[in-house]
Amino acid sequence: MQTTETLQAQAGQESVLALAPRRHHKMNRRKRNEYIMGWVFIAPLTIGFLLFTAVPLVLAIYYSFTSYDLFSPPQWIGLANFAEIFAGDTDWYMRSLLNALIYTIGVPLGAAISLVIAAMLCNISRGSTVLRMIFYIPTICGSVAITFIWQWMFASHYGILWEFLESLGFQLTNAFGFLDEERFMSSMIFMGLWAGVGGSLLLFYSSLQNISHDLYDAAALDGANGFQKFWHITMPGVSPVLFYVLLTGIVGSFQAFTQFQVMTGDVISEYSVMPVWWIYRYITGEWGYRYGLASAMGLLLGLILIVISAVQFIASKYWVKY
Amino acid sequence: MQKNISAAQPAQAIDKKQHIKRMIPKIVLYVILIFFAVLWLIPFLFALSTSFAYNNNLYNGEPVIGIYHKEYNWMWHPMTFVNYLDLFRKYNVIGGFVNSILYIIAPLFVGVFTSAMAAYGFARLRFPGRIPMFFTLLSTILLPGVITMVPSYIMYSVGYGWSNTPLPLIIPGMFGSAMTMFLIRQYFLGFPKELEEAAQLDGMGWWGIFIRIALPLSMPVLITQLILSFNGMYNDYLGPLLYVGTTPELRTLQLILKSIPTIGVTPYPLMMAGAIVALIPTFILYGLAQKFFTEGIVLTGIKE
Repeated sequence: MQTTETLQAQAGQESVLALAPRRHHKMNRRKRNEYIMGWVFIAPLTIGFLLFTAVPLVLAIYYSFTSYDLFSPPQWIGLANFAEIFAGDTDWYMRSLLNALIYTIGVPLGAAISLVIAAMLCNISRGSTVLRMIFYIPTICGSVAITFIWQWMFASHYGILWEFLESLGFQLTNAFGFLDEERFMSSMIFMGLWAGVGGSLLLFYSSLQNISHDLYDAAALDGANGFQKFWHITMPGVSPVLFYVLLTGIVGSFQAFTQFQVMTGDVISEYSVMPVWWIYRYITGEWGYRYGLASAMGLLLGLILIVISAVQFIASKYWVKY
Repeated sequence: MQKNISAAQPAQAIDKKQHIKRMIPKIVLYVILIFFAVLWLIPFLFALSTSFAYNNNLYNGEPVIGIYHKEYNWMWHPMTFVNYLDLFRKYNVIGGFVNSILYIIAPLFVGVFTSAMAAYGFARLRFPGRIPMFFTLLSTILLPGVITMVPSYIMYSVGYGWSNTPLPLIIPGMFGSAMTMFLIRQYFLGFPKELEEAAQLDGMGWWGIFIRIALPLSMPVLITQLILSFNGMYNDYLGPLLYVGTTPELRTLQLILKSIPTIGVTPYPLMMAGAIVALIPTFILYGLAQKFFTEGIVLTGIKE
């Protein structure tokens, strides 16, 4: 809020300085035209925001405190929806939050891998563009196609990973499967790393390119070792990108849906359920049209993500160097 | 042998040795990077290869279950086009693709245009309410979509009466997106002030400057945003699933792809053919606009 006020004050001062006493009337007309046109320019996006974001947001909060099934008007039930969620009566919703948390392990892992590959790419001259393209390809591909491909990679007996493990001498039995209960989440994280590393790699690469070589030369003169150079020069240099990758990655992986629904053929189970998938089941009415409860679930996850993001923003003041 | 190199040896030989020594880390680096790059490509190669495999068919009088036969490996096996033919014969791939394009065109072009309008307003004009409005819109980028998922569905189907129509996929996008606005705005901020001053002296209004000067000057960023938006909508799965998923003739390509049954005897070769076909438009698009894109992502990256 403070920055908003100061910026407005600055803008006001500028225009006051610009006002020449004689041309007062003309300037005012021009300024009024600028006011009107400003709002004309932002009108479509603002109307879209009001109709398609602000209204559902208000409804989300309202529905969360109601019992609503589409056929009769919403009935105010206070905190009952949240009480039901926290009591664990809604079967696997709490479990889906835990699964999402486990799935989020892939985010720092992916950031580390893409940073290492980006650093390697910075040290070669020829072929770096082609290699970056190769890593980037999966990030532009649709999730359905990617999940199909990995369903086949993970397939028992005939999939390439199975054959690879067998060729290494592992005796795999029918009891083993990459998409089994114990291995499902690790397999999804594995696939997510392959699919997602390319994007953050590009960002890390360009921010590494922006770090001045003089800094490394100076550090070398001072006798800094590789790790010290990395910690004191590279890390601060890439910290804005790292912050962005972690922030968007965590929010994104908590809301992952397509990979899970497609990979399992829409067969929901305790070890594979994800929050958005669970809520989606209420929308399609498979578990009754409990829209109030489903809204509360969405709001709860959204608030958790907003808190996580806020904590990251506050923490970023201490480690992100712009 | 290496120990025998003495000072008496010609300087050239020492240089060469040092050169090789310096080359070793480079070579190791290349080996590691190429190894990873191959790892990254294997799923695509595996899918491509499988898409040409026989699926539970006889080949030369012998049962060859695609590449499952132990005589062959994942790259070398009898090849056939039958999966692609099956895909187009049994699944409405072309109809799905047409639907996808029909749903994308309006929000793509109108949406990027309205986003650019707002971007121009925020970047170049001074008006009351500008800053609070900008931060309000910006904050919607960070708003988790899961919050509005259920109420949006109710609003579109009950409030606006758009159930089982593609309108929820089309209309909201035409009002632009805050993210696109933000990225285009970064570009507009870089224009010099003299740009508008000179145009205004010529009697040009704000709208004229926007249409005839600002937009043509920002083609790289606009094309980047068009590509990103197209690909995002083309690959979208949850949106079409919610709003047109239950009406077969309205399905998008992603939904058609997903409709290939994967339970029971999984038709992997058919699935791979579907995946390859679904990826082709994306590859063509990025291939054509590769230069714009690599420039654009640097220009509109989060560095600024």
